[in-house]
Amino acid sequence: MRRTLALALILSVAGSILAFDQFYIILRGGPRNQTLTAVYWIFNQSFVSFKLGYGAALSMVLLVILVALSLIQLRLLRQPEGVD
Amino acid sequence: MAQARSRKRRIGMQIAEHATGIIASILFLAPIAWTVLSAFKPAHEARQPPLPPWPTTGFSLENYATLNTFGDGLWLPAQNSIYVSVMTVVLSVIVSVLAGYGFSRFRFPLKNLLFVVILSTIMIPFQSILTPIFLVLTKIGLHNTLTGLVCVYVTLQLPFSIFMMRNAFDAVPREIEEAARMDGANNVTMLLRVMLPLVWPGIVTIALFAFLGAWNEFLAALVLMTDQSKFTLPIMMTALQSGRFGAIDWGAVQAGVTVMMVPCLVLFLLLQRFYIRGLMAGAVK
Repeated sequence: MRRTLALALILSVAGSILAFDQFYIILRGGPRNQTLTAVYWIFNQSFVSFKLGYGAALSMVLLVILVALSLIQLRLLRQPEGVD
Repeated sequence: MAQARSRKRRIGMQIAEHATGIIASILFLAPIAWTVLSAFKPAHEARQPPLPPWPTTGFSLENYATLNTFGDGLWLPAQNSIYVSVMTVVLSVIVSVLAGYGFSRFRFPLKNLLFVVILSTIMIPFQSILTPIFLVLTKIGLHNTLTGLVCVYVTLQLPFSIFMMRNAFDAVPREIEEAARMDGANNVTMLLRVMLPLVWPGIVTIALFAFLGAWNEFLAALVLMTDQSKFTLPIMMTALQSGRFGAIDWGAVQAGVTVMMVPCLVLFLLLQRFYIRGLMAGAVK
């Protein structure tokens, strides 16, 4: 089960970190930016304030964070030696 | 005595299983049923608090009419959505069938490395490369065009589709290929007349994934499309929501969501059989 669990966990954690649609549609990040997500922040910086370079830099930081998180989860859920 | 008890336990287990299934399906179906029902409320009732979800003062199609009066009507964004989804399906199926065939049956330098590189791009989520994609598309003049949107969607679909297609081709026994080879089939005939019918479930699966992905995608369409005549349906829905003096017409939104749902449901129900077979073929590799 470990492999299945690892896959499901990584997919759902990455999916929730990348949440955007629901926040944009229902709350627009309001009230007073309390419901901004990471992707929403990037979106605001790049396409509302038009700081495209800053937005691209933020995107890369988010990418690094996500890869690191996925690797940590893979590590924690690694198959023990000798078990198939 | 012991037998009767074990039978009783089995019946108990069955009841528990069914109850879990029923509760889970109610949880998943409730929002859909809620949306469809409240789309039929007359406009004055749609502004009221949402309970009960069904219309109390008679069914009406008023919301659907409102939907069609917004902007250029519903048909234009629907056309855009259909165009983008169909093009995404066609392009990603062509590319991934050829790529899957190549990765499964041919030997060429750096084959395994290339495959790992393609697979590892699944790890990179689209949202985190959104701004760079926007910049690239602006540079090559494809922002605010449906073609650009199709390119983005196809790129996003390809790693998964190629993976699926390679597994589908791997599952075809080599003996069939050898028999066709003996009958004088070249590579192209082999692919078109022998392999394609055998990997059909895989193709249906990736086509369905590509269609659903392109049809429902929101963020890329929101960022790349600035012209209202090029909006796809999901973007049109949010424009509808925030248009009209900032007041949200919930009735029209519900009606729009109901309309958007129909093609997905129809396709999924029609292709369900193939889809499950295609996924199973790829699952045990």
